[in-house]
Amino acid sequence: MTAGQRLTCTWAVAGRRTGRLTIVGDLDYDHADEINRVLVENLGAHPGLRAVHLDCAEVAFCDSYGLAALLMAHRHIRGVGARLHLDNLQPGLTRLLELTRTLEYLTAEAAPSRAEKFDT
Amino acid sequence: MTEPEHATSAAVLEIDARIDTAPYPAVVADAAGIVQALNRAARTLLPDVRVGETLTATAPGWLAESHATLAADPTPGPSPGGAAQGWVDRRSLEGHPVRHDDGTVTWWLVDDTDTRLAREALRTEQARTAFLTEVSTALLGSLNLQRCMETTVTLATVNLCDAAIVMAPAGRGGRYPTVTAVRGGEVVHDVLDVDAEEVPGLAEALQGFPPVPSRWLDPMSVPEWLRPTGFGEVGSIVVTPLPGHGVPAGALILVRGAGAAEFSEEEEVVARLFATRAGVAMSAARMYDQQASITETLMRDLLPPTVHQLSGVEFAARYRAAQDGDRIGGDFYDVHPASEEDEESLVVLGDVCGKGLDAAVLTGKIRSTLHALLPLADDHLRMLRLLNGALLNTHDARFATLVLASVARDGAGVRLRLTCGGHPAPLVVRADGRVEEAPTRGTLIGAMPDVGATTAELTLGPGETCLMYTDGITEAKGGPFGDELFGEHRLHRALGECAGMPAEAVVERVQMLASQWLGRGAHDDMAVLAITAPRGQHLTAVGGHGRGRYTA
Amino acid sequence: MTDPTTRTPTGPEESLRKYADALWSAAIAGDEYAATDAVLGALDAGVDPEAVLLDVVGAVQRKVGREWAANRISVAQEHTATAIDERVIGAVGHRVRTRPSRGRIAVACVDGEWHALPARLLAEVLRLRGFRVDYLGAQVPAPHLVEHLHRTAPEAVAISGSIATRLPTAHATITACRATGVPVIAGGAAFGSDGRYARLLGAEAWAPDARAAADRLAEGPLPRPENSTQAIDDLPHLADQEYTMVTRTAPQLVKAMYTGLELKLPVMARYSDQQRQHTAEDLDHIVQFLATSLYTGDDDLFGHFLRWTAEILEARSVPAAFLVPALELLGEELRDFPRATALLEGARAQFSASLVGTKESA
Repeated sequence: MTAGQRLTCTWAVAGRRTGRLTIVGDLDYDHADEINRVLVENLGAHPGLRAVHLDCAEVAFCDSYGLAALLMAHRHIRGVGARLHLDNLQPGLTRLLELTRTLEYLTAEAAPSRAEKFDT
Repeated sequence: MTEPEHATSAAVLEIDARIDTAPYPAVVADAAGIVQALNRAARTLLPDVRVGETLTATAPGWLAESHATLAADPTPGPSPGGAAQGWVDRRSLEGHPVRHDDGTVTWWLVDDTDTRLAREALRTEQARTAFLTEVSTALLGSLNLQRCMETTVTLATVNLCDAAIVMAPAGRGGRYPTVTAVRGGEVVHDVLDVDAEEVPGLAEALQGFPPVPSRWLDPMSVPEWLRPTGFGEVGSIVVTPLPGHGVPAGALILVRGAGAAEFSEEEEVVARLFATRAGVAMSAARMYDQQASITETLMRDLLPPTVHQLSGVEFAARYRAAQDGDRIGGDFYDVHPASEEDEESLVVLGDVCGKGLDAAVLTGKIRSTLHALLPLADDHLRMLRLLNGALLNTHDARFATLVLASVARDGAGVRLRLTCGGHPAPLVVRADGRVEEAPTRGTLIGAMPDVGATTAELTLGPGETCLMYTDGITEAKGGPFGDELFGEHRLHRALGECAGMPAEAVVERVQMLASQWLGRGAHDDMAVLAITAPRGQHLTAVGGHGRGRYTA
Repeated sequence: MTDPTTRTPTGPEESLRKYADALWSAAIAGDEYAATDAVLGALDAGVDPEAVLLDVVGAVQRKVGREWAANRISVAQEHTATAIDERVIGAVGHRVRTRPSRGRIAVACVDGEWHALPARLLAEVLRLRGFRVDYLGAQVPAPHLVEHLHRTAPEAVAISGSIATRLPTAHATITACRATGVPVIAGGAAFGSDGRYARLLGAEAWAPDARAAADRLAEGPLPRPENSTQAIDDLPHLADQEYTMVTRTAPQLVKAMYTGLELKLPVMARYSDQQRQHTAEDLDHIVQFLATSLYTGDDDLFGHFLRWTAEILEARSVPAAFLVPALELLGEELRDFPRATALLEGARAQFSASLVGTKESA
């Protein structure tokens, strides 16, 4: 009953430079690790990405462990020189990110690089 | 008949050649018990029995008795008493009587030695299995060493011997914890300060090395300390090592009284199997105890402290651990009292993301770091920055959210400085039932290189409370429809009813509502901490008569 | 007072009542000092400390329960009085110290039980009688309790519960304790006024109150638990799975009842959020008590709950009439479950009759 919904993460690439991870379900202690499993696998398979969008339209619930997973995702994405975008944030998640002052940090521009200027 | 001089009765004539050569022994006796005839097989089996002699004088007792019983019974019929049973030398025989019209009886003797031995072996085996099963069940239940030792000696005296002693390996000071039972008596605990070397095989058994077999002792040479008090003369005594899992479990000593039979080979086997089971159970209990005491030592510093009134300010806190996790979860709180009466105390309440040992370690780190940073508590932001620096690491993104509260009595009220690091803001319950969110915000700790935060300063009037809580409360999932979060709205409303309540009552109320909301559902850690300005003795209004929870 | 002719007889009971009245006024007003004065005064006057705990503090606590049920005190007063009583118990324990001379006893509440005070009183009384007491407090999860029992191997564990719907949890806890070889004495309102549920759930002993529990434990050790029993042996009727089904579908049942009631009672359309929540909570209680009755196999439990709820509602001027259609709706939902159906039928018939009876006598 309280174990949360299953979490599904679907990866897609739009062009050579942009990846998109669609997250559906609960980002909680039991499931949130799934994001980084899928991310690490795909970041490795697609070198040269400049932006990764996490589509959060269907994130039903996010607890502190879910937030830790987002922070880890941020590290992985920055690690390959890309920028994280959080798309379609729902009010609950926005509130959590504001409360913890992580929204700005997570979505801040990466140090400008030549590649990025040609992006999108 | 081959021996005509014995042919003295009509019945004898019935022992014809066929019967004489029958494979089963047959004996004919009259009602008075005088042997009338016997066939060849019977003569071989019972060489003493002669025609004309009495069964009583010459045949085995059980046969003579059965015959007498049968003869005394006037009821006609072939064999009213059924078969007789007895031993001749090492053979077991079943006697089947056939009664004749003239009162004589022919006893056919059938050898059932093999069947009988098999049946007895089976019975022994069943009894042994039942005993060992009972032993296992009784010993498996408890992981407590004392209890296992008690169970061992009690079962031993019921099934194996008259008195039993279990000696555990030497504890502190080289003394041996001992449990003794005498059949039918109380179990006695003792700690013996003795030299185990005095008893052959005992020292080895207690050290668990080198391996030794069970050893019989000379009852005369047994030292006084090994004799159970109140036990009479020792007949036989055996020392059996208790095998453990890598750790010695001790020794089992079984004693029988002077009158009792010595241990049979069979019983020794059972005793050894018994010792194996007892030893395994006792070493499991010992290992559990060691593990548990290590955990307890480690956790002592991690468990939330008991809090109470300090320097004219009421503090109360409650913590409910997640059911599925370990006793220590990610929530924590501390109250660091001011060193001087009018200085500030520092209260911390926080939540480490995740559960289990990793979370507990991080919790411990945060609590000890903050403790070390206490002299800097004037400047909450600086404290948070230093803490953040200490927690940043590269291998994961574990973080903590927390609230710092500096608290001091100020006249009749309480002055507060509150700073959130990514944590839900504390709620303030005013005397009139208004609930306000403390205006403080800040960055979570331990995940990002920079942190920022704003500090709120406010004052609690008498009877007003500041409540700090973790998201286990607001994220408690349940309610009548099963899938709703308890939420901030319900928490606000609940606190509105708590105006004027003592700190303990507020935390109890909040925990109670969250528990009710959860029902039987699983939950995360839940922590609440209330800081309350005591009401003066003359303030008696406690919110008046509310309508309670049933409003229509 | 000095004139013997005008002196009113003050027996021990009367003086206890005097202290209890003083404590009541102080506790309900949240006045810790006056409360502490009242009990310490009783101790100074030579009242037996056990009587101070049970007949002064305990009496006040029972009154808190009665007054809450009758809606004569607020939620705030109820919790305030309990908190003050807790502090007062601490003060008594601080004043009267007894050297341990008897065995070790663990005292704990069933998980989910937040009424800690009865257990606390028992722990203090046992301490006064010379037992070594480990008081584990409210809401003790079974694994924590079992771990404690393995570590300490007490003579017995006393389990306290006041909420009947926690009986299934209590059963699991009792079974777990007994499996470690530690006998259980159960007490508290949840186990029935005659202790029938304590016996049903396998406890070695039951006591109606703290004094009786202490007497029983002082009498001699409880019998060691039999090793071979399993939880299902206590309650063979659970094989029909009705309890499991009702528990698992409880939220859906509450939703169905709520929707059904909205159709039957148009007034609900005008309910405030809070009224909606209270109604849903009442319906949830009905389902939880039904489930508990199915668990224990005891119809009285449900009937007793309905009568109690009606009283509580009446005290708050909420018409209890909605209970009857609610039971009918629940019966509809559970028509495939014979035991639940029979239970609901019986309870509804009895309850409707009692409602008519009340109206006629009023």
